[in-house]
Formats: sequence, C-alpha cells, structure tokens
Amino acid sequence: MTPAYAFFHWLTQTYIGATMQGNAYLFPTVEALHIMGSVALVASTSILSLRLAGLFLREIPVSKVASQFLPWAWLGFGCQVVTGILLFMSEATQAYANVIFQVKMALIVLAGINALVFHQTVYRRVKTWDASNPPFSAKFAGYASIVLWFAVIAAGRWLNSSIANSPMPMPK
Amino acid sequence: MHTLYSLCFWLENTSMGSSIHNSTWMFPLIETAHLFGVVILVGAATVLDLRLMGVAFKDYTVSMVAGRFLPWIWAGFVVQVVTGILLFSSEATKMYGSDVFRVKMLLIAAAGLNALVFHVLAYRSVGTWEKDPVAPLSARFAGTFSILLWFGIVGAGRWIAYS
Repeated sequence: MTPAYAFFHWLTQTYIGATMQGNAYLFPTVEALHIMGSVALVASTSILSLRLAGLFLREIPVSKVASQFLPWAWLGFGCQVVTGILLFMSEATQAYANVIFQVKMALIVLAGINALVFHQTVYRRVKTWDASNPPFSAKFAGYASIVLWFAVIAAGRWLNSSIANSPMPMPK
Repeated sequence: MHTLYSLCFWLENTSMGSSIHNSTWMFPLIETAHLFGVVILVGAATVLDLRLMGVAFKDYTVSMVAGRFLPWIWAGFVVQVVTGILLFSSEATKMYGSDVFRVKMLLIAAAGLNALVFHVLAYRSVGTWEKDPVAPLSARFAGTFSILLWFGIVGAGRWIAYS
C-alpha cells in the first residue's frame, strides 16, 4: 500500500468520509451543491473572460468587471473546494487510480496557473488598456479560462460515471 | 394505457430515444452539454436577479443589465430545452413515474410564470425606476423568487438521477 493510498483510505474512514458513504441522501445533496457552486464559479469567471476576449461588456472597464464579478467567483470557488473535499472524502480510494480524476485536478491546476500568470503579468498594467481592446495576452488568458473551466465541468461529469462503474478497489 | 404514458413510450422508441438509450457515451455527453447550459442559463439569470434584488451591480441600470444578459439567458434556455428533450426521450417511461421529474417541471413552469409576470407588470415601468439602486418591491420579489426557483431546478435535476 503506497502512502498516498493509505492516506486516501484513511480519509474514507474518517467521521466525515464514513458519514457521507453511510447516508443515502448526503452524497446527492452535496453533489447538487457542487453543481450550484459550479454555476457561481464558472459563470463569474466566464463573464470576466468574455470581457478580456473583447466579446462582452466592452463599454465597461476590465478592472470594473473584475472587481464586480471576482468576489462571486471566489465565493463559488470556496463552495467548490468545500463540497469537492466532502465528495472526495467519501470515495477517495476509488478516485485514487482514476485517470479522469487526475485529469480534472490537472485542469483545475492549469486554470489556476492561467489566472495567476494573468494577474502577475498583463493585469499589472491594466490601467494602460482598461477601457480599450485588451492586448493579445489578456485575450488569450480569457479564452484559455473559458475552455479550461468548461473542461473541468465535463471531467467532473465523466468522473461521476467512471467512479460509479468502478468497483471498490482492494488495498494493494 | 394512459395517453401521456403511451406518448412517453412512443418517444422512447423513436430512433432518437432508442439510439441515446442504447449508446454508452451519448447520454453522458448530452448531460455534459446540459451542465454547460445550466452555467449559461442560471449564471446569466442570477446576475439579472441580483441586480433586481439590489444585492449587486447597482452601478448599472436594470435595463442595461437586462439588455446584456437576457440574450445569454435565452441562449442557455435553448441549450437546456434541446438537451433536456434529448435526455428525456431516452428514458421517457422512467420519467413518467418519477416524482422528482414532476417537481422539476413544475419548478420550471413556476420560474417561467415568475419571469412572465415580472415582464408584463414591473418591467413595463422600468424607465421610472431603473436608475434606483433598490428596485420596487415587486421587482425585488421577482428576482429573489427567480434565484430560489432556478437553483431549486438545478437541485431537482441532480436528484432525478437518484430517484
């Protein structure tokens, strides 16, 4: 048994993990909240991304769109982290060797890196292009963000059926 | 046989219904598009609702927010109707007996009615109050109701799979 697998196994045996598995209503309820959180997170980031791509709300400065929609994106992100950890804890051992789970986590990391790079580079100079057509790097960050977040949703959907179809693996 | 049930039975046996039903990848793929549509429809509707409630985006007039976000609401709605009909056709007889499915359809009808009542009543006079940071009570009520209904619909949608 690898240390990572042992840790994942331990997660499923914690009070939270065991409660999530033991209650027939809890998992679907947390899943429903995870979908609601995806609306808050992905809709808010997509509105800013469309503005960065120059496709939407062009008469509003980028910094203003960012300051009005990013708090909702963070709220959605907080909801996704909490509900995502709860869902993960109940089936961590099934997620352990699941390729789609790894793809989803990698896509989330890429979306985070994309946002971080944007903030540390071209957004630093936002005052110089705030009201005009965004520079290429800002447009690129916007398109990449939309593609990545919708891909995260798609991976989440496929994760659900791949875990449902996989038997509970035995500890190795 | 009940007329509605025979309609469901017929739909499920059309080439559309049966090919989705018999394919392993078509249903999850359409469901993924249905989830994308949720983000567009409910995301855009919530922005307008929050403005109507006076919770957010108060710097913009109501008609400006409506003008920018209603096209997205309609685009998302069309995606949901098309993908929803495809999903329904593959398991229509199962949905016929599902209480959660009935609740979801009732909630959608209520959300539509709420939007309609808002449009023919409060929104008619939008020119007189659209610059107010806080909209009239009926508009705030419509916004609150809309958010609760749409998120209720999302919740019901998730529960259909478990019913």
